[in-house]
Amino acid sequence: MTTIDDSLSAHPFFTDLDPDLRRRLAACTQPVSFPAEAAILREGGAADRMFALTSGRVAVGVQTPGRGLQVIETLQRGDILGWSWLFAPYRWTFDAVAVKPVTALEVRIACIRAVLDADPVAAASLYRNVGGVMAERLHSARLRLLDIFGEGH
Amino acid sequence: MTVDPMLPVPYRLLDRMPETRDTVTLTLEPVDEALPPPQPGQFAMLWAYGVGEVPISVAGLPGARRVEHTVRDVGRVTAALCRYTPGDIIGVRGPFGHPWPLESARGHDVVIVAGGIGLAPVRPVVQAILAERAAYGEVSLIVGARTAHDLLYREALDAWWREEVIDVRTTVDTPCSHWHTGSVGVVTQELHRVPITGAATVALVCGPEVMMRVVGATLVDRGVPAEQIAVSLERNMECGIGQCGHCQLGATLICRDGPVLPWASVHDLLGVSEL
Repeated sequence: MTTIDDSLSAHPFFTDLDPDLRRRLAACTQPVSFPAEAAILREGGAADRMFALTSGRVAVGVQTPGRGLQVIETLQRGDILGWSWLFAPYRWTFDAVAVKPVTALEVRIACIRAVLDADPVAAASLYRNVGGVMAERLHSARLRLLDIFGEGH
Repeated sequence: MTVDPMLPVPYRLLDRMPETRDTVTLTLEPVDEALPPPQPGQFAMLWAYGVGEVPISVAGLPGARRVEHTVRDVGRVTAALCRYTPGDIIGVRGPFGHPWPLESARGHDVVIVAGGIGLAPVRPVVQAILAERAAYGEVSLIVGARTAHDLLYREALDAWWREEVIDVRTTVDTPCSHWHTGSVGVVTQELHRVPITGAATVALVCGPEVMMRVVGATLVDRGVPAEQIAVSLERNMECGIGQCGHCQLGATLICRDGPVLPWASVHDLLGVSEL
């Protein structure tokens, strides 16, 4: 039988984490699923979870009256959804909607925060991985600002 | 027949297929004598008589001496080419330059990354791989565009995606409401999601130079040897035979030494603003 720890180990975000930390994260994690078009996160909602996506596709964007979700980017298997739990005021800054049926591992932050507060080394390794994801997405956002498929490129 | 590389050979436009709002694919066949058959990655100089000449990559080799070129309307000559209708005559010189390293890709996993009009030069590579699928390992095709409306060869992309013979991933900068088959983001994000086997991988990259720089660096970071990454560069090719120097990039003449070049030989040059 596949355990939550096994599932976390197989997800690229968690693969290189210390096994002991991963076990403690697993105790705070549960598998979840969302049907297509389900809202996973709502802008302004409490950022108390992090999702490790294992299948499907999620659109991250801004809900706009009359225009629906203005999609900024899509995420899929192997990606992490949600890092607003790291920073005050701990509110989601965007909406996230399942484009296709989604399965994910949901990490409850309230459960893990005490572990991280008590173990700075473990916290640093987790935050480093989140930082890596943030750096990659910032890089992608900067590339899109260049409008490389526009005129003059 | 010995062909003077500076003399255009008349080709008849057989078919004109609109791809996007500003891009068409032209199917040409020789009026009389044909030029030597091109290989994927090479380019030809297309003459719009009375207007001028532009370098255009080979975008398809449907057989029977026919050649396809995909042309984006970005200037006077390309606008004239895009307006042509079946039966019109176009002058063709070529084929010029070095092709994609398809032979050395045999037996390897292949990662193809194309952005915008850069899908055109790799299209015949995908067709060649599909025609001989067992000769290659895992094959991934990552295609980026500004919007879904700017994606070339939509029907073919959809078919390749449905058939799952190769791993096809499309991504756009700006989605529209009916964009459900692909991602939103840049090609490097998709590249991070593709399993890559390092030295067992050959990569072919074509698109805006900024994209190729980032993709090339990402592939090297993921263990693909720089000499196994081929990029297709575009410059102001005029003569096509390395005589005029208009397409110079450092000591490299893109028409003669390229347009397909190993990443190892060009990655330093692409960051030099004075070249």
